[in-house]
Amino acid sequence: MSETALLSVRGLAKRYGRVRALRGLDLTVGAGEVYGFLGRNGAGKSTTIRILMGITKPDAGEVRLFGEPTKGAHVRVRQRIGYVAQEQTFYDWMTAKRLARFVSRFYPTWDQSTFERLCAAQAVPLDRKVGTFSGGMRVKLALALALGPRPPLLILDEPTAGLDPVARREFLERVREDAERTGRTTFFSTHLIDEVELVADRVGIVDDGRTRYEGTVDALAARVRLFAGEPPPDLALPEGVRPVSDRTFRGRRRLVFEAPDPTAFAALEARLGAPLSRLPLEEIFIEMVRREPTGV
Amino acid sequence: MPRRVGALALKELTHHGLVLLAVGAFLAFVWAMLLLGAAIGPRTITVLEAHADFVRIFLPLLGLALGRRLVVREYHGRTQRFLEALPVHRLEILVTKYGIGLALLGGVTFASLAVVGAVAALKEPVTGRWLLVILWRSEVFALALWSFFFAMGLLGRWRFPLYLGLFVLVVTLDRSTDVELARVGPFALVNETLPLERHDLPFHDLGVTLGLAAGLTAGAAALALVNEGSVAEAAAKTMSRREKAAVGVVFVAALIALDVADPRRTEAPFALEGEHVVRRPDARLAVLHHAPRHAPAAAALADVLAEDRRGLRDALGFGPLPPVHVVLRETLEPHVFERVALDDAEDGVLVRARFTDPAFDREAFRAFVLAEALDVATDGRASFEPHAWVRSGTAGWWVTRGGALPPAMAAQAASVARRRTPSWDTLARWQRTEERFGREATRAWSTAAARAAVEAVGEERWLAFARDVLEEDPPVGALAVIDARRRPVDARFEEATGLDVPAFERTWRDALRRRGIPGAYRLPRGEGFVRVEAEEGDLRVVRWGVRFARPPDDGALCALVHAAVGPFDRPIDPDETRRVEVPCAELDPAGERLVGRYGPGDRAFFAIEVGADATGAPIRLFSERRTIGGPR
Repeated sequence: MSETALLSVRGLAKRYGRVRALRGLDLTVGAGEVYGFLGRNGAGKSTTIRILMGITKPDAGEVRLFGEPTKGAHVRVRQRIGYVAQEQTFYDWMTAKRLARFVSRFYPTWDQSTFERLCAAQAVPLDRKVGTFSGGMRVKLALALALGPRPPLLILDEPTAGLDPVARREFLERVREDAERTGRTTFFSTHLIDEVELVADRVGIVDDGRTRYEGTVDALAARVRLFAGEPPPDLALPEGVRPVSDRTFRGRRRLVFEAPDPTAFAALEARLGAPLSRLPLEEIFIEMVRREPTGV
Repeated sequence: MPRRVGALALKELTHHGLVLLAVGAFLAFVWAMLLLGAAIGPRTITVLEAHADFVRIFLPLLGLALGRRLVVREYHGRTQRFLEALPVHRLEILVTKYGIGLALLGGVTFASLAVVGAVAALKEPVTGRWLLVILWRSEVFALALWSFFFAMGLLGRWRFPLYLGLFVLVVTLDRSTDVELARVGPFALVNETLPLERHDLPFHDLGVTLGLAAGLTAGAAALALVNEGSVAEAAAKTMSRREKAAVGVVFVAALIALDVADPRRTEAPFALEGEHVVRRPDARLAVLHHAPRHAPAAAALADVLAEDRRGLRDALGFGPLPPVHVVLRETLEPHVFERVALDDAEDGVLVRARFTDPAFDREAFRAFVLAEALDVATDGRASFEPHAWVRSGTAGWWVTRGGALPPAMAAQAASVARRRTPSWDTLARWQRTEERFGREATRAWSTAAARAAVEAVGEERWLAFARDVLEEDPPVGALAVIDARRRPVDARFEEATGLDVPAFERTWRDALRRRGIPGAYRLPRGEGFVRVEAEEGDLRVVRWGVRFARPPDDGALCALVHAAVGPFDRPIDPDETRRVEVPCAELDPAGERLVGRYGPGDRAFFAIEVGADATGAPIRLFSERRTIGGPR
């Protein structure tokens, strides 16, 4: 993580009636990072983003953006954020050009040439009514509108949902390319691991309203190991290692362990008398957020 | 903030601009129709009624449309989510929408009053204060209206059951309670007094309406802001089939319950009760008298009235005419017939007369009863100018056909004919003629006209004309206005009878001359006068009298008929008038005095009448409306 935290969230809590959407979420995003915000559907990703945008108020916790608390300053803060929502609810009667003209009035830093360049690069027609756009086209337009004000922070809330694989890939590459070219901080929510692998420098895994992991993708891959087979009955886990899951799949027992310090796995391998194997990122995510008690 | 609100406002105006233009064009048409209706409507008191009609009928429709365009569409299309993600406060979005709706509704209200007021000022004494009073009432009503539709818009799909619920509530209040909605809060602001009140602001009603508007606006704000707008967002979802079915069932059940509980269902129609009632059920007729000695006269009257009704109904091809209830009233003058209003048209006509008096003019009464029944049968439309003479003339002709005009009627017609040349205009402008010559004389005048027409073209053609003008289901509202313009009564007359108006006028004059009507009766002649003299301070004395050129019959009474009238030239009901009688022989040559009844600034109606044996009813020699002079 970069030393300067552009976005930080501490102890965020939010309840909708009886449903507790967030239960003390913590996040830190450094300036210039591309941050993958990973979680299952209903884990609290969209609620977190709506709170970051100031659309929803948290019940507890603090949000700091650009080094300042956001409480009471949402409009000013929002002028420095580009936002692509999960669902593109534009005015269908407007053309892309008219929509941009409308949006531009809310951002003092709006750059029409940036918007037009992005539209041209993504083949978004400026003079067609938005109502005639396909889902992919709407997302591309949303990205151009979000980047039009040249914001220091870009927040994307599962923007690729509903896109075909090619459009998804093009969109992600454009986001990554934009981040590399401009150094813009990008906060990117998704439930698809491959998107995070492709785009993110760091990742935060949210599960059941709490942060389950926050760090680099490589560190995440290094801290989780799989043991496939029958462990000794008197197995005691070394210090720093904790069980993640214990399942039997196709007649074979699979034990997943997590250790913030991967060197602890050496002691575990010695006690098991067999090597531990690494897991693909998708497997790691699934094991971390699966609701299943471990038998170890 | 102004930049953001400006952007939002511009977006709304761009989005709804075309629709607003279309609405503007429609409203211009509506104004034109209302103005036309007010300008030619027979019941019109002031042209400003066009504005009142607009405010009552079209402003709510405009509010409904604006609520749908500005609020419902935003939430239903979920585009408010897009707005909420922009750097703008939710409250700014709300305030912009509220402000635009209010400005449009208020602006249209102002424009309506400006247009109608300008037209009214061309022919009426419109004052600034008068317009200001109307403007205040209209604008505060518009504010409450918009607050209501704004809040309803935020209720999304639940607004439909609420509209239905309010409809049921209003119907219930109207039918089952003594609550007069037209006297409550916002309704009181736009009731029948809106175009007429010139001086006083109804502060209580304004306060109630403003309070209501504030409450509705606060409710709307709560709906839009509570839980980050999730309440309004959830309400905006489309109604499910189950919800639609539930709302439909509840609404139908409420209507059925209302109908079952309607007190009017159990209310028997009006009927005369008692042992001294002569009934003719097949003709829907009853005559009430007070003693057995009156029974023969009552029965004879019932028979002839029943025959009249059956005959005219068949001749016109109408359905059953409304019931008629005749009541003997021995305190009335024999030439005076009264009609008493009944609550429901289904109850028919209640008339009072002194039918046992030897001087009772039975033919005039028969014509009167037929004309009043036609009035009720056409929901009052047959009494409007320029139809009224056809109604009265047909009734008069029907009871006098087959013989000469009865002497009293002929004398009454003569009292008009010696001062007016028979003309279509004297018939078409019924109110003016009636005010100038009196009710009895004007009825006789129309009877003479109808008889002349029948003599020239035959009964069938006259009946075809009467049927066309007095049709049972005439067009109403704007359609009536268009119909009246498209097929005026004189064109219908020519179409049905084959006589154009000049030919008819010649025929009528010839008929009167042949019978020697204008000069055949020894009727009093003279000039009535009314002067208003200022005495001490604001005291005003009305001096009245007659300078006779031909003296009246011995013992004849002279009378001043007078009434206070408002600022508008509406018809004067006989019940509103007062009468001062003096034997003509004892009239003060300098004028009789009426002291202190009217003061400076008052408008009053004066008429001078002289009794005459030949006519049975007084002859009106003079009439005028006048504003009493001097500082108020």
